[in-house]
Amino acid sequence: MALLEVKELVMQFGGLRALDNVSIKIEEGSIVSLIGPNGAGKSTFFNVVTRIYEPTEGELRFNGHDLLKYEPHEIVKLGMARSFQNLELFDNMTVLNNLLVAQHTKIKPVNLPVIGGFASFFSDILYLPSTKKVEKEATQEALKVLEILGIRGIENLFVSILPYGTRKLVELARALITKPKFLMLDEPAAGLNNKETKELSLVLRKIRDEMGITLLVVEHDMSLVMDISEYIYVLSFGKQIAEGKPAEVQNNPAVIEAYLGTEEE
Amino acid sequence: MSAILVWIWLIIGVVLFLMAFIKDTPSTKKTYKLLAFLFVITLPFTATSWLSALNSALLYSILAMGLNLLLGNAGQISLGHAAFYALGAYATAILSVKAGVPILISIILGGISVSILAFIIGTPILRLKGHFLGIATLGLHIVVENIIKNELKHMFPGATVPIKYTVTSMVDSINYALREKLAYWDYVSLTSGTKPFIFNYLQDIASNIPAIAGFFITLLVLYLIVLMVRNLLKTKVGRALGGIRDSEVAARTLGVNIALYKNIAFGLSAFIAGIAGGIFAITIGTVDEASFMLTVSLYVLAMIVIGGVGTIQGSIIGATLYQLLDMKIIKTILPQKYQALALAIMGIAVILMIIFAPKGIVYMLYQFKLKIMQKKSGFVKK
Amino acid sequence: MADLNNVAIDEKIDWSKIEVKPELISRAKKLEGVNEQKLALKISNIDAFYGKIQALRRVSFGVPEGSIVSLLGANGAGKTTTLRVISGLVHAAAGKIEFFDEDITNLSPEKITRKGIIQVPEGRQVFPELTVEENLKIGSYSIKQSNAERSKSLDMIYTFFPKLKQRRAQVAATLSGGEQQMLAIGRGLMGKPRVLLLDEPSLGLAPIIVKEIFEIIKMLNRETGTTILLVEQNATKALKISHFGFVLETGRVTIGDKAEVLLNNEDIKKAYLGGGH
Repeated sequence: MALLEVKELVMQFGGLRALDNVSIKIEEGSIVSLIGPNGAGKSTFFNVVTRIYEPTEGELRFNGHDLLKYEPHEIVKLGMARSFQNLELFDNMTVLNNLLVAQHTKIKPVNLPVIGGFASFFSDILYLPSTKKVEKEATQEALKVLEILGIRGIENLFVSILPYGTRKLVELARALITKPKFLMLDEPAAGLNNKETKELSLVLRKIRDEMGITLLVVEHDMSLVMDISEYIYVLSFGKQIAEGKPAEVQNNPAVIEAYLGTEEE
Repeated sequence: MSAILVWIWLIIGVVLFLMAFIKDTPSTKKTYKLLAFLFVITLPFTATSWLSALNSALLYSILAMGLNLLLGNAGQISLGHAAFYALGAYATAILSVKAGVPILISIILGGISVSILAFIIGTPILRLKGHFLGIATLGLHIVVENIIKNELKHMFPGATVPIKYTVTSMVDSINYALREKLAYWDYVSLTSGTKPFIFNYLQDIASNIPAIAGFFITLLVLYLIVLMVRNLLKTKVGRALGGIRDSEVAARTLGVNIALYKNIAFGLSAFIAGIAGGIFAITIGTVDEASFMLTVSLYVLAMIVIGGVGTIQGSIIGATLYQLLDMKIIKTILPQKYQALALAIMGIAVILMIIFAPKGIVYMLYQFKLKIMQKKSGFVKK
Repeated sequence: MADLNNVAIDEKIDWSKIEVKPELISRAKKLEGVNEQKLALKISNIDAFYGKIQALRRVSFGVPEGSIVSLLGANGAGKTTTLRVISGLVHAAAGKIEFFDEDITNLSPEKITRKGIIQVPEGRQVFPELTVEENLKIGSYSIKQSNAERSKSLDMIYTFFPKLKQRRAQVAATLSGGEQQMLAIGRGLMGKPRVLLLDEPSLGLAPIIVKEIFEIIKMLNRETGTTILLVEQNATKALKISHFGFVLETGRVTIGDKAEVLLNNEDIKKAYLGGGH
């Protein structure tokens, strides 16, 4: 069964059709890429799937749930996480606090039905042992994820002073820590050099192989896309112009014309 | 004599604070905590002529902390925060005077009811952003002001509420005992011809006992609220609010219910303002509409900006500095015939502070501390 | 900013031990001699900090007039910081920056811009609510210019970027990423820079657009003679259009040479250029 199934999705902004009849199917455990020129609707697609935009038409199913029935803040509980094209980190917080916000739904000092929220709130105000315990656990969890991504040691730094590529990794860490089934990454390699991009592709593979997370990646760096993707969808001006295995897409004349350009040399 | 003592004490306080801020290491922390404690408990006994300014500085610190939680930590503006301050004061007054509820419970119930009200009002108005929210909260203030003027007038003539169980009444017995002692010494001196050398000083204290008690009560409440806000900020709620401030869309995809947490911030902020209102009621002794004008909200906003948006220290430093400058320092320094200029000078002082420390005093101090640390480690050659 | 005291104090860094590689400084000097060109920018022994973190350690290199120079290196190596120190946005704790032999170290960003060093920031940062033409005009505010001169520079920009001409009345927010990058470069050019600092012009752009942008940069340098200091992750592409390249590693310049030498250096290929294409 497909993990994410999008059928005939239309997203209309005034007179602009940002997404025009887009249908995408992502199998569990796969790495899928979404490519296309700037302004093709890739980020819009992410925003629709994560329920930030209300689609004009179409059907969205995730892991058997009808996504349209959920609020944006509920999708993390369904097991979906994402990163953002232009970084949406919490700049005035430390890296650690960024990762702690990401555990928002998991941090429950008092785990009781109905009154749990209230009780947790008072536990937090008084900084009771119950709060101390969950805070410590959450912190350790955060450090573990930083360790995996090889950026342990920056946890107490403010995000705003980090270089662009590191911030991208922090955003990846923040998405990973929610323990998603499905991870959507918007240009994870932007700001990384070729060597770092190679390392990233290893990390992404590891995320899929060892954590069993399905990946959807939007990326302009073709070396990464061709390296990791099992299937590629190509969007241009909101329309699906091609799909297929990397080799097929790479040689598709429509894709070359709209997106890749002819190779020099 | 006592005026000089005040200045010496205040300068000690500032120096102590700066040293504690700059040399903040785990080993010195305990020492500075102890010194700070000794400083604040002796302060009201040295500064009797400054007590009203100090008390209002503490009260405004509480208010500023409430608004700063909303503005600095959740990124939502309120220009009508004095409305919650007023409601807290009136709720305390009504509960204790009309319903006979014990005063301490009245204050807490007042705070809670104000926060519930804010939570409900917050649901529609917190959907607005930026200046629209500013205008909505401004409107809220006007509505509350009108309710106080028009509705409460029927309850209390002149909308002035005399509180029965004020701080003055609480310290009556101490006051009485001290006065009795003083009267005895005065009597003895008729025959011996000498009074204890601290007689004048004690007389001064005796006439200020309610204000001194007010100082300690407000200080205690401030301390409790600092603890509450500090714990809140370093746990789930505080982080969720920071997330909303820095990126709503990211906070949302990470599972933060934006609408709910904005309401929580609004409610908490109103709770703190409401408690400040209750403290106002019992320390001042009467509650009247003139104390909660719209300008109060704007002063509090200025205090936060001066002190440092988003920090607890900023709220307290901003409020204290502002109130002391406004109520005491400028007036003491200024010659008698130029007293009318005090307000203008205050305005200039605020503008200067914003120019030279645009991110607030706390941030400026922090930068200063960094420079010192860099110098100490010896790599800045220039 | 919940609690300023939460910032990490990295006491482990021994500030007094800062290595200086003398051969690099002499290399930078040699470069100067080899070309017998004037140095537009001469950066010597720059230290810079973010709070307690040292971002640059004795960074030295030169940018000959009329050339394209690439600054390469991993994330966090200090490339962007170097640009920001040059443009006055980050304070240099030590060292000297000379612009045509004039000391400009730690001048205010406005003064540096007026002297003719203009930075095109990372992530474009165009004014989203203003039209393309308004954005471009803002770029010329740093210099005194008659209206005729201004429209002449506008025309020049439009010949370099025909796409911007088509969209001159559109607000910048509606442009695609590539067009925004062109607008950002165009806005920089409006200030008649003697040195243009480009921070990651290819960031987040489709391959086809990246090619176009690099071609335009090369053409700009050739046609107008503007000196360009380029910070790029895409090392191969950057070096292909550059005359010189410098590699930064953890805040230090470790390698500096002519671009074609770097492109053929096996070690560098392995470390930075990767496969790429």
